[in-house]
Amino acid sequence: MERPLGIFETAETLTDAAAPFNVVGVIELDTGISPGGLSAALERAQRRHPLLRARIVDPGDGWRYDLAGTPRIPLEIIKRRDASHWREIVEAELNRAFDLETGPLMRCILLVGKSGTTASELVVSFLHTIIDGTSAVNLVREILEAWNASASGHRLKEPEILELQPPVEEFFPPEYRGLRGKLRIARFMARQLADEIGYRRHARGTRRMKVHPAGRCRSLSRDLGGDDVVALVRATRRHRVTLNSALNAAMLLVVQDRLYDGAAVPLRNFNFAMMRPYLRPPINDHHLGSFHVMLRSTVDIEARHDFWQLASTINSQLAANARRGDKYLSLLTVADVMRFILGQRKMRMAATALAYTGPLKMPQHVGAIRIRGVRTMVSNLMLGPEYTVHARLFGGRLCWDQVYLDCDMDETTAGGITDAIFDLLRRMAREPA
Amino acid sequence: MKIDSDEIVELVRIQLGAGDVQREDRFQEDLDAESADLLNIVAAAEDRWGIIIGEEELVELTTVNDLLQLVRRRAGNP
Repeated sequence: MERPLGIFETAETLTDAAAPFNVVGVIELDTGISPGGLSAALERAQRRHPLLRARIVDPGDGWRYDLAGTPRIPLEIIKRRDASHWREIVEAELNRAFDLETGPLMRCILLVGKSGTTASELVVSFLHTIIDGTSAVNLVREILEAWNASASGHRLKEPEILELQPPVEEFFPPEYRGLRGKLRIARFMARQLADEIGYRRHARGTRRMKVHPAGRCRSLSRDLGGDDVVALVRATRRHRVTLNSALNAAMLLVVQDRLYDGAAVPLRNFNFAMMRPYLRPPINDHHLGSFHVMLRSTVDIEARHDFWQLASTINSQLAANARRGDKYLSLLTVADVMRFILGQRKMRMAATALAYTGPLKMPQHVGAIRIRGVRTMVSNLMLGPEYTVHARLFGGRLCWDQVYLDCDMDETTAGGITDAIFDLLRRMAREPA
Repeated sequence: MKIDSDEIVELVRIQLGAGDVQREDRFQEDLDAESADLLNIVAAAEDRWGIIIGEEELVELTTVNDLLQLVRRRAGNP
């Protein structure tokens, strides 16, 4: 059983060919979980989900998923040294390539404490091609529930075996197919070209991001506390902008200040859109797969740009992109764009990227297990953004997981940017109405 | 405070500029609402009924009826 990779799957696999392109998640647990039970839960998940049995092969006419002969999902058990040990593991996982032809395209590491009752962390890594944030969260919940059921002595029913889904573009609405689709793509490409010309003109004379021959992913995680989040959400409602737009504005202003000396500059920024509910028919969260897309926009930042004005501009820009159907058009063109960029290796794709996924659909308790936190990071490559963040709400907190390349900045600079973003958000949240 | 389902349906219709909205419609799948649209709907409901809806509650809002139930609970009108 196999099928060719779709457009976005191909773009992600092209990226992986240049440098490892992995999604790495950390589930922080307040107790230990038995490796035996976890191994059984992983085996069950692999039987259920075709993409966990997938390998990526190229028989000569392009990449295809092959679901035969894939080994079991590896589970490595490591003794937990201290509460920050997982960060070292995450950084290694972000930089460690999958063997696509052998598979599987998922692996797990369990960090266990000295006794079975102390805190532990489960580190799960995937090749990005097979998973998006929504299905990753769903899968982890499914694995923890299976582990909990077996640990409680419940007999688990045989899981429903899911079918491999066609690629995302096959679920697009009719206006993005055929001749009408081609016309929309042509208009989209013309807009992208105009944006490129405008960006180059405005960026002339400003700092240029370096293209390094190689870089190693580093990570940094911070949380914005519950009271600050509540105040920030109230402020965003008053200003009629999404929390995503406010977070983008804070990130861009601080990056402008720290990396561009506060000068007026156009910055390219990636946002990410979930496609699942907008597909025809919509794709359920329990199907693994890459049903999302990245959207690049250029944001002109003035010297001393007003925070709420910028958040409002970003909000309008994202809403306009959505109305024009840019998420469909961007996806339809992404593989060709990636081929061009990776072939040239002359420019960085963006300065910043923020993947804010909103409140996490993960309970804080799965049976007897309490989940203390959830971290998610995605590998960056030397042509990717300088400052990349995956953010979400969990347990009332804003979890902010940053990935940067060691050739771009050191830990002090990276942490300084994040601290300054949080300071700005706190200030803006408490500004008088 | 009595909250009529027609008021919620009308609020959603105005915010989305949609022609026809039903209580059972799903915001994203049926009404093509994006996050900015949902923000405008929630903020308009907060203003109209003097309530507060938390960001984490937004994940519960799949359909127009979910919004109706949430607004009624929040306004003490189950």
